[in-house]
Amino acid sequence: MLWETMLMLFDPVILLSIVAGVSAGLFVGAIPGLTATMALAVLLPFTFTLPPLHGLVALGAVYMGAIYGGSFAAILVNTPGTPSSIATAFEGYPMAKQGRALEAISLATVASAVGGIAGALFLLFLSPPLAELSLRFGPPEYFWVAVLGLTLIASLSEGSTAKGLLGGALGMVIGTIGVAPIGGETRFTFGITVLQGGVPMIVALIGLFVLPELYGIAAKAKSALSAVEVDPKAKGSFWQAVKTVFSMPGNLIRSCIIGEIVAIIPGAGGNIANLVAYNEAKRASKHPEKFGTGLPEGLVATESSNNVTVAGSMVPLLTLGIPGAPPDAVILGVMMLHGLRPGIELFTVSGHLTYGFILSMALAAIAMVPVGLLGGRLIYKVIFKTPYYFLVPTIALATILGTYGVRNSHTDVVLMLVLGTLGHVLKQLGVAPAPIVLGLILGNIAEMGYVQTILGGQAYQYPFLKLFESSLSRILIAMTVLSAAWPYLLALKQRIQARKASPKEDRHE
Amino acid sequence: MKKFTRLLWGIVLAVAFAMPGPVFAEYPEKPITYIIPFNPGGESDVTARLQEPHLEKFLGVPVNITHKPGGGGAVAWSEFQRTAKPDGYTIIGCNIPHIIGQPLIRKEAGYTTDGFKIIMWFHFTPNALVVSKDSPFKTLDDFIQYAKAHPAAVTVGGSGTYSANHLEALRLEKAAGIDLTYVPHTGTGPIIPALMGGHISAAMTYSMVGVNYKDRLRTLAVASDERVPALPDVPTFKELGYDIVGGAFRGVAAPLGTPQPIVDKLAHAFTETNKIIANKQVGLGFVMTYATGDEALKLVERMRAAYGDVLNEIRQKQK
Amino acid sequence: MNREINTDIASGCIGLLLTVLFYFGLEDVLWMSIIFPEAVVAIMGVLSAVLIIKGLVKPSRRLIFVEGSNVRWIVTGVLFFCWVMVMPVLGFFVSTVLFMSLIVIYLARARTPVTVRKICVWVPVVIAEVAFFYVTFTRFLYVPLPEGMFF
Repeated sequence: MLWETMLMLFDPVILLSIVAGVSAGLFVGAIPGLTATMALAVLLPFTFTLPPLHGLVALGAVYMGAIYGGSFAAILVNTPGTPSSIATAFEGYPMAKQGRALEAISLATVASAVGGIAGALFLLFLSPPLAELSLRFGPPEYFWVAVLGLTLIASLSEGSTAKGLLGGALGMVIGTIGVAPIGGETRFTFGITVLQGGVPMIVALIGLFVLPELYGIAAKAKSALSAVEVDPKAKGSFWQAVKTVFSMPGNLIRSCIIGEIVAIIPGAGGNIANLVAYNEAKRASKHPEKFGTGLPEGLVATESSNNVTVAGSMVPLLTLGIPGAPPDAVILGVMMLHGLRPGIELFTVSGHLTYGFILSMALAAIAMVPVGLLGGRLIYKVIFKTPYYFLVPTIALATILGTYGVRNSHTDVVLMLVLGTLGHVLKQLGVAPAPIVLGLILGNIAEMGYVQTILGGQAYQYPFLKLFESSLSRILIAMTVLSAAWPYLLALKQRIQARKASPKEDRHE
Repeated sequence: MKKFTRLLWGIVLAVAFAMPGPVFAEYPEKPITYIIPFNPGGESDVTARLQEPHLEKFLGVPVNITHKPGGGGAVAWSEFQRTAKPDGYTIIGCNIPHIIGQPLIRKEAGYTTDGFKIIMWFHFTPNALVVSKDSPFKTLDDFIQYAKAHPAAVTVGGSGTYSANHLEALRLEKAAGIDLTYVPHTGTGPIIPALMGGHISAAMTYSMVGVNYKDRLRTLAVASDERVPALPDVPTFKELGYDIVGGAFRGVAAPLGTPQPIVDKLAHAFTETNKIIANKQVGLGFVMTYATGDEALKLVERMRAAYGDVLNEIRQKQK
Repeated sequence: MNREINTDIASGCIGLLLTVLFYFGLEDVLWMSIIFPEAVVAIMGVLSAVLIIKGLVKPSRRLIFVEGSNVRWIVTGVLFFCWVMVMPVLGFFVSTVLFMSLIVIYLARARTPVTVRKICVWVPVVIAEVAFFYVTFTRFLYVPLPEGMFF
């Protein structure tokens, strides 16, 4: 069946829709503010006229391309194009500043393709067990996932951990503005009706990452890229990138597994996966102190993990009908319209269609390589050649449009400017934007998890005990403790090693 | 021949002068913006996407769907009432009971229930009490007996607070004399894994959930007047002796002050569209409705009365 | 502004300021809605206080806003705000062309002498760019951009 299905995909129309979908996704993803969800929603009506397989293939390709396209903006202008490439900027932008932008793009391309294919393989072979695992995440587990995620702040805050934690708390406070997810009442609206809807994560993300960069370029009167001479042949080649990426199999495998686990948790997607993968790559590295200076390891970790989530988040979608990440909700809508009910019968009765869709995502991942290398070079040249005084207003324009497009709101644009300007000042003081955004993402998950847990424990004498009830909760708590204590354990280990290394000790092993 | 042409022109001019001006600008003459106050991929969005091509055919102009999610719809509704021009080129999706409950309970919802010119309510999704396939509750009676014996221990999930689901759960508590713990979720989507994973004992959700996830979920009762075609074996609450009928109505509205001929034209287009998409939607568990004009207003009144008691009680508690 | 400052105390003070702002935004509503905001506002207050104390005991001083001209980024920021503020009045297209041109001219002064001839090249480039985005957004992505007195 797989073989037949594969042959079915080598239809010119399908191949063309894959390439077109990836290109369109790449363009949307590269513009900060335009997310994969939005791209899919816009494309939706077109797919109604297509046969189900063609429609799903096109949507899958757009999704794949959009998540990958986010890395361009991250590498070239230090601005994650989508929330899935926040950590890509940590290594990609320093590389670009050193004149290694093309190398970074090639690495991101290869890593994304590997991640995309890995996600499709997970989906193809491991769906049923992974789907059951995803169901075990209830409110208490969500709460602990969020707490575990917050321990990332220690490694995301450059320099002072206390400032990073302050940023995280600020992010969580910003995240609570608007209608309470559980209680339904409004908080912190200060009499402004629009604030009922809260501050969308994208708006904060754009403001906090893009504006400081623009202000920096304006102050210095030159863009970071134009500062260095680039030898275009140096290390930018595709084969070189392939070699580099595959020279770190441990990192690749780890990042793909992290991507897959985050992907199957409903509600968490590439936005969390890339940060976790980055953090783990740093933790496992022999030279963690070099992270942040343009290390390929970090880049490969983030870009492979976030593309795993594309196909990976469809595990609960196809088997249970539960979207693993926001863009999947749109794909679920399409499937419902074509009368495709998620469940095991999707793999048996409509097997050709389902397997075709899964395999097409692997093809889309492969298609990213030529499309991305070409498109990446083009975008790079444009940004490189554009004088800084055009670059600043143009990026500002894209930013404003992206923010506005989130929900067609002018107020959001004002919010973005206010947050971005505040973020610029805070960044100067050592409070990095990444912990703020992380707080914003995780604050909501933590709040929902906590309040729902307490509600679920109403019949208990102490409702909060429900937080510690399940074995999965306990595993997550152990991981949290370990993660928080890691830097201290590391220091301890080094001290012991230093003692071991001292000449007095003579051990026979 | 020339004479004839001149005569023709004369007639055209005469007619043109005789006619009142506005008729010449035949509505619609430019694209219509159709605002969805929820996220892409939800029921409102998917329905709008289904309607779009047919609406374009009936109206003869493009219909552009845009999203403005936030605050359970309130962000879009308040901005719509503040800024939308009553010219028929901006319309917005509306839901009952959202537009009834929010202005009553929130301090600053930013809009009023009566501040819309309702074009049509096009479908209804009844509430339904759904449990997991491996739940011990086989019937509504099992559920109620257990809840009576174990007050507050039974958790019932639903989408949102003071939403159709929440109010229905409150009505069930009152009607059956039981004490449930309602656990709000951020939409219908998250209810499904919560049910399947056993994180809630049951869910007061929409009938579509029971239809779409038949393999893993069981519907105990639906809150409609008659059985839902897509779930022929599931009894209604009424049959079981509880007078509970409710759910979410979805519709579309124009700004107050939109000229009646324009509203009628839109209502006609939506009605015809509804007939076409009915076969697709009924299979998914929707109940089609065709409430336009006065009937649409009456529906708002009826639902306001139905939820009035429960809503007022909540308001009392808040104070 | 190019002075060495105690960044711990400065960030702590900003944190404290925001804590106070949000503290007064707390309302007495159902526990479900407010328990978490109360907790995070408290956490933010504590962290701000910790930073201020650390700043007094073991300060970390640093030069801030050292790279390039402060006037230039502040003016750019003000232009951004004005651009967005006039958008509902003049409409997206007009305000964007106007302010993008202003920003280009203002920023270019730092690099090259600005002549009328150069402006005559830049402004059409800006118009073309804005037109491209305008068409893409309104025609293909169906995002209704703000309209003003013109269109």
